[in-house]
Amino acid sequence: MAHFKITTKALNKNDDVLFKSMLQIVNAQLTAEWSFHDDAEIILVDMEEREGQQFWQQQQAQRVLIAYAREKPAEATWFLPRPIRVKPLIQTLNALAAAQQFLPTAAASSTTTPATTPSISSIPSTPAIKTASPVVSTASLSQDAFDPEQSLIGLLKQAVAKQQAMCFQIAAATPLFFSAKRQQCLTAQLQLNTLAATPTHLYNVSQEQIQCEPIAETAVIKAIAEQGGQFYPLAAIIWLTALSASKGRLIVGHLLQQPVKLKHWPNLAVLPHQPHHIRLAAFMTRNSATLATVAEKTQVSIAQVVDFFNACQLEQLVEHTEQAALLNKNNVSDAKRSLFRGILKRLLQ
Amino acid sequence: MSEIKIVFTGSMGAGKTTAIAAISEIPVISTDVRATDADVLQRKETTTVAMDYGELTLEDGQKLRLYGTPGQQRFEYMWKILARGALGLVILIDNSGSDPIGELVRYIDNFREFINETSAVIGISHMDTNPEPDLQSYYSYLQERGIELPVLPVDARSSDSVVMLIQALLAMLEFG
Ligand SMILES: Nc1nc2c(ncn2[C@@H]2O[C@H](COP(=O)(O)OP(=O)(O)OP(=O)(O)O)[C@@H](O)[C@H]2O)c(=O)[nH]1
Ligand SMILES: [Mg+2]
Repeated sequence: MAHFKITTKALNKNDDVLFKSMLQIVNAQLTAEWSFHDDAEIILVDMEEREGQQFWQQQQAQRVLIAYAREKPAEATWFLPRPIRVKPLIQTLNALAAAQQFLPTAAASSTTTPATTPSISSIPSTPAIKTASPVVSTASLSQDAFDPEQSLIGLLKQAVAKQQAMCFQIAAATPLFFSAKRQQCLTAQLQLNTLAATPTHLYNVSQEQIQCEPIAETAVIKAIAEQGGQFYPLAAIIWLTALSASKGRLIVGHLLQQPVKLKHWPNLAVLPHQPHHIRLAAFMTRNSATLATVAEKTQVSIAQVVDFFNACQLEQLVEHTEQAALLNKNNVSDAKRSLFRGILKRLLQ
Repeated sequence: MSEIKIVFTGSMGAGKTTAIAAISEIPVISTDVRATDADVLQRKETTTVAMDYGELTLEDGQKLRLYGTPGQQRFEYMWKILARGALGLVILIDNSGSDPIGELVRYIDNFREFINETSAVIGISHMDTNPEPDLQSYYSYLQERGIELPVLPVDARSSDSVVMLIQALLAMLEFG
């Protein structure tokens, strides 16, 4: 459990004593451990006292300050209403603890918060937190990175390593069988378009949601006979899972700013795909660019670009380049582009 | 823009006529004749001597014309005539031939100028019966020469498979 130290500034004697004892009373209901220390970094400041206001002006950039007043001052991120009561105290301290754990350097204190700031519980999205952006963005990136090991891919890898035939399933949906002998998977026909329209399925959930059961090789053969379905190369299932489970989160160990290029086209005869993947393959095999540039030039959403990039990374198609290198492709007229659209439309009819 | 066309070229028996037939909305007009050369006969009964022609009507009424070149070397003079003014090129290579990579070299060299000005996509057919050489071998060859074209397995008998190639070609023309 995290431990926080707190002190007070400019509180009158009564309030000060009251605060110290209340802190003890509420301790069991706090998500972190809080103790009173004179030299703490988190400070409750009485904003109705001149001394408190001056202290606020001087210290707001360096310390985490909680405004103590009848009305919430506009400049305060953290606020405890006067007089001190149990419930607001618990709420404030818990919200602050959550934000501090999110922001290890505790820089998020006292930047101006608009008067409209709704409530303590929404604090992580207030502008005050955003000012600590370098910390926030790395924290959220690592927290939000796509870790293939946490998806079906991790389970498949374990099955491959153990040379064990397996059955993977969520709820009552069609199972996926892995045959160790063939190094292939077996399931009903996979349609990326259908999957993309389904909120949760085997290929986009985290491992804990997947039931996996060792089975005999013969059970895989029996399943084909009984349920039909078709064999897929392991690569196709890994690819499909990466596309589905990434949800716009960059794969672990990669930086969004790094220019990348594809060594060659993914084998789209085997790997499930949608029309935008074809566009991305065309652009990314010819140009070295950051993913943001890829999104801009191909008019594909950044989330879809990231999903595709992750799948390509697992297929070992990605090449990192020192610098972006874009081909000058200005010669495609609007008339040509609309002709291409027309042909595509006719072909996909 | 006068004639809107895509040209299918590539090795003998790779499936050019079949591929056009798979997506054309009219029966393919072919100049196929019964094969007489022993070499061709070994593999199939007919071969294209001048060209194949198929078409698709777009929403606005324009026609997309699909031309196939003859595969045999002795009709090479037809290739450039057919390619003039085309949007792009589909190169089909029969993976069951004796030197499929050598065949690819021949087509790339022949159409180099055209490819530089437009683009191309390479479809490898008969991979179901002849998995070797694999795609990586083709890419290795292309990479040595700094050529960044898509190489995709194709089954000329399947319209989905042929559509996939044309999608890749259009993407190369617009974004590649
Ligand atoms: N097994 C298999 N057969 C194929 C595939 N693609 C095409 N074929 C068959 O291969 C033959 C190809 O014949 P064509 O379409 O006449 O080939 P072409 O390229 O027009 O040949 P030429 O006109 O002689 O140059 C046909 O019988 C097709 O059905 C494939 O991927 N696998
Ligand atoms: Mg022919």
